[in-house]
Amino acid sequence: MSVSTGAGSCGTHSTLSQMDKLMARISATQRNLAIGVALTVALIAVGGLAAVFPSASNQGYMPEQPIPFSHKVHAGDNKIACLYCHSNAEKARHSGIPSMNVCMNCHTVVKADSPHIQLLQKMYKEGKAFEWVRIHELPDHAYFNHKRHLAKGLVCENCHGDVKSMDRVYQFSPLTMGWCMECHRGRTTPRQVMENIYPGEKNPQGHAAPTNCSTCHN
Amino acid sequence: MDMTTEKSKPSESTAAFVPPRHWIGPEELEPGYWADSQVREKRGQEFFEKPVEYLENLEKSGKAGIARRDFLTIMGASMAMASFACARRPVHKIIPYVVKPEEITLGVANWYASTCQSCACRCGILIKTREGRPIKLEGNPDHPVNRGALCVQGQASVLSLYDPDRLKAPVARTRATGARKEVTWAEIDAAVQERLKKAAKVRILSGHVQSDSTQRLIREFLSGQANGAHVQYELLSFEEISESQALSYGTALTPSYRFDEAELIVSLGADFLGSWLSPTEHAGLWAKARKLDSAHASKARMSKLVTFESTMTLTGANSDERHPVRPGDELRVALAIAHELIVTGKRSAFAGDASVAAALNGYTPEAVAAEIGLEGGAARIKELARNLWEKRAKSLIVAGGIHSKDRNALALQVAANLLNSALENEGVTIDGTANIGPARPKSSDLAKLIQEMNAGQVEVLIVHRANPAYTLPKAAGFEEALKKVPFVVVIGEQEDETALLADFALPDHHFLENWGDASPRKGLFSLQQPAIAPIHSSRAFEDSLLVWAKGTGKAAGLMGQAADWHAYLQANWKELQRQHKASVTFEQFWESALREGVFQTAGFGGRPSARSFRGAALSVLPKYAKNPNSGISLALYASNAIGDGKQANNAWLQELPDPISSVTWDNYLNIAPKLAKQLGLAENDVVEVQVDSASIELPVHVQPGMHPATVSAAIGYGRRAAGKVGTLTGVDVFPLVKFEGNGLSFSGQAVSLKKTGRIYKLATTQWHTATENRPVINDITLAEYRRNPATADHTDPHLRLDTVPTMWPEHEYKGHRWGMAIDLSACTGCSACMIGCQAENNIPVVGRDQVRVSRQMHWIRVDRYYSGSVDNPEVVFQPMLCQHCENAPCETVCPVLATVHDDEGLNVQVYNRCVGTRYCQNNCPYKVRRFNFFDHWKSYEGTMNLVWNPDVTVRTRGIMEKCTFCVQRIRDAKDKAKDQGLKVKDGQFKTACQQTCPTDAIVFGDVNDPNSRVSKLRADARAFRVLEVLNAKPMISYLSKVRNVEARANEGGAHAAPHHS
Repeated sequence: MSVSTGAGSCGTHSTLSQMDKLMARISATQRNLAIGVALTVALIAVGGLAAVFPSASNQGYMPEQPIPFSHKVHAGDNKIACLYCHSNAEKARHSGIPSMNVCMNCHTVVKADSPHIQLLQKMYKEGKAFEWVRIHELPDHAYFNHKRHLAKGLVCENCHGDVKSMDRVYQFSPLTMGWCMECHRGRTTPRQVMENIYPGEKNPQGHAAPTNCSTCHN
Repeated sequence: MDMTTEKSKPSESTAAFVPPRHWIGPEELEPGYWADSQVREKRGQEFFEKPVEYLENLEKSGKAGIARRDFLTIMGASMAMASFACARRPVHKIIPYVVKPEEITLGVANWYASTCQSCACRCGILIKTREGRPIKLEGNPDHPVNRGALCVQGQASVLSLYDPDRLKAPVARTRATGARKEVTWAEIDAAVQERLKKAAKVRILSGHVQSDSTQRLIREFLSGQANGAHVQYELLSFEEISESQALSYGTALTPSYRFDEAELIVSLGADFLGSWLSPTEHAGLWAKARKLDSAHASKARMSKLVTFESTMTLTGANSDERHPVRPGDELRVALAIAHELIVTGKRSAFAGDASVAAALNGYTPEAVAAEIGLEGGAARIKELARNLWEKRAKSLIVAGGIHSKDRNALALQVAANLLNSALENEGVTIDGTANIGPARPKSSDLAKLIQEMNAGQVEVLIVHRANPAYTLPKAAGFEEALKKVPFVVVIGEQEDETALLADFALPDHHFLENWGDASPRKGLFSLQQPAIAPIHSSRAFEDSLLVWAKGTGKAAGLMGQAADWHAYLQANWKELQRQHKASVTFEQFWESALREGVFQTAGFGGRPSARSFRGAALSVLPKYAKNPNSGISLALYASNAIGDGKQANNAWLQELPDPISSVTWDNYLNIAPKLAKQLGLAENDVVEVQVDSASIELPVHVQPGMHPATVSAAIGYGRRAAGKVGTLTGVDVFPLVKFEGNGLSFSGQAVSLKKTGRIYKLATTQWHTATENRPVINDITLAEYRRNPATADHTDPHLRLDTVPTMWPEHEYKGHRWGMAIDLSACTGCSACMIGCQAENNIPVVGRDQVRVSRQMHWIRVDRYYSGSVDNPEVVFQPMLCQHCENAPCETVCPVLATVHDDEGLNVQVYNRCVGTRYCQNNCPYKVRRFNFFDHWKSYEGTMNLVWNPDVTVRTRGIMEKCTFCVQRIRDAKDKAKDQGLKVKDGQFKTACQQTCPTDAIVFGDVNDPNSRVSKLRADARAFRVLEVLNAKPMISYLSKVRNVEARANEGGAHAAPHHS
């Protein structure tokens, strides 16, 4: 006995018959010509796009920000810990951009003569915030979690590069899915993380993290 | 006891169990229906129209929308734009907080305990907020009323918060011309105060105010005004209950009903599972007395529900025995039972009481059964009376509601009280000490107010959360009377029908923006706190009163001390604390109440005590008379989604298929199949419905289980000023309501029907995703269950699966493996899971036209099946969602691997891989995959976009989606567990559907954990899997529906028509 799994054909028959009618109206030559032209156009389009945009990645993206905030001065020269400003990274998915009052913890006194800092102070007083240009951006259907990655022993530099030396921050890593997967599969995983995952092993090898679709997407 | 009157039952030991045949629509019962290949083709289609056909039809119909050619142009253009868009990365800005609130962690939800105000139940809620905006409401598990569950209206009210059609700023209107102008609060205050100072008579007309603090504030406000009085009017007020309590027991109150203590429940028109008093609470209690454990099947007990009702309601659908009657017959049945019990049977404390006997004179079971044409005749009433007496002190009679509210609504309540007292239920299953809420509004007060208004005495009328211009029939004369009031202020969330007639329409906060409280039971105080700053320039009603009282120098009592409503509320709660909790400081008390959402005094929740019935109440019982109306009667009812129409502008509720009829977006006239045939009416025929001189037009829905001389329609539709979604959606049935003397009479009117010849296609989901006559439900009687609980023996032989070799290697699950169990005996069909899922998973609405072509997007639906006769069928509900099959048929056909298994057993849909072939949908035996034909999310405009759950992707056009088992909740639970270095424990989190279920019918968990609840339920003898024969190995097990009947009318009958294969 058999029970068909689908509730029927979803009407494919009538779609086909429409196609048939359409096809019957035009000759075979016309049809072949049309298909040929369509294919050529498609090929040129795909080739052209591929030449102009080699990757979906935005690696290297370094936009100008509303004030020339320097990570080199803050994290490099003055050795402020990343998590002092991006404290949310330890607590949740997002690393977060520090709120204006965090800036003002120092800048009520530090470098108060700079016109940029004066702008900061003015905006803070008026209850306004800078509109920073977003650099690291994943698609909306990807759910990356900063907290989980830090908990496994990753450090900021692993993905964000040597921010301490960057005057203007740029996107260090490709942030493509392939790049994520290589690390999850244990191929490009930083050593300290592998040692956390495989404690006691001399040269830890293997998967570093789950690679289910549902690990990052929902 | 033998419940059936005809059809001898096969002897227990020899007869093999024959499963009942389930059907979806009455047409299926015609012989040879499924043998017709055209029918099979039609019913097998998951989508009724192809997209191009759909657009061509739009073009032909000339209706607003995109015509086909435009559509192709737009498509072409957007493709080109999409290609160019890749050239430049879109620049997104990040705007940080200026000063970050301490309690906010980006990406982490904050929860606040509060009180729901969607209807009069006042359930406790937890508000989930993300970065300061409420995105989901859940029942508060610590709240004694709803115990964690929440109904459809409560779940949907978060969307009403963001309703773009809310009144956003104060509006002044020239009443003569209707000219509208936005004004400032200062202008309003000046104008109102000036009026108040001069006015000789001030009235506040409000909905049922359930808050002690607001009641007190109104009292204090009015004490300072000349000749002030407060009138309450609520459409679903249930005033007849409290009035009858006063007559029967001396005090006007609304008792609390203990459905969990009752073994035999008789409902006389009371839809206690759908729209009567506190349905979420009742459903939980009712299901508690019906839980089964197959380990003790032979001694299984469950309560029995017998319903007499004039329209098919959720309560009727869940009854073990249901009798369709005409409105008004509920009273005859009640008194016939009383007659049999007290007069003939000489039982109970009332036996021999001459006044009782006199009141019941004429109501003999024989007379009543003959008059109402009861199935089973007088014998049935006699037997029921006997059964009730056997279960005395363990039974419960509930009565009343809109669809039984005729002239004798009060008498029906008194009859129920008499029965409950005679059966010694008073003080056991009926708790007269746990008064539900403050005093109920009386429509006689409203009638008096209208008189005063008409006499030109009322000089200032302040209307708050009442909409009499819509919720009263024209005959009540409210609109005419309003014209004679020189100064009218309406305070509410919407610019509704009444607001359009006022001098000022002032925006009130939504309850998620406002402070407040409620006392849903005596001794139980529920606190309401804002979870978001007001979105628009609204002001709380209470704050307005405070400002005006202070402005006129008449701030009496607590008003004088309180700067604003919040302070006033605290001052009132300070008195509560002094009275009940003097051991702690007020700050401690307040903080704890805010955290818990609820405060119980020592007096709450004790054992009730019996009150004695006062014979004087019997004077309201009418003398026995036959129904004067020999024609068709009308019954109006409140649907469980739209209710009284307050949330008519809520698209989630409009698109929710009615659990009984499966119709969305409209109301309609329910007609029994027999009557439809007799009048030559078919589904979708538009008929003129006339009561006296008033008439309206409604499309017909042929509803099995209707009484053949009764038609019914839902109130709450056809709003004239609800907003983009609700305005003129459905038909306003208030013209058919009678305003007689002191109150409204909704049902029992003689009605005449006239076919107009026009057709209106109702957007029904009834035949969508149909199973094509394949049996999918195990449905057994309690007797059979006791004899043999094993599902396999009750399963249709076509569906049994013998062991088959598998073609695929088995998946391996080392960690968790998620699964679900759904108890069909507990599911009442209330559909709260559907709206809970919609809010949690960003499920869009598609609109009426798209529902018509089967494109609604709900991930979980509640399928309704009938069995038995078309005149009075049995009903079973089956929540259907992605079954997360082990051998998933969808996975094998996807050409791009967009649907795959993960290593915890989830069948995941990868949106960014999906190219929209719909093969998976075609191959899904459960029809649970939903395709985005359009960018439905775009219908969310303006503030509505704030309701999206940021943890779930908003899907775009052209991709498939379906239930994910709330993977974001799984991930969140794992995240929390990992923080503590633990594994996720059973019960640590719930899926959205499970969380809101009032009857605990849905259980989710790890099936790899042998001790988890879900593992135990999956091992229960009642467990079965739908369409097991396909060997898809679904991860959802259903537990058989068990009905508390001795035998089925159709058991062993000729119903076992062959299922096609």
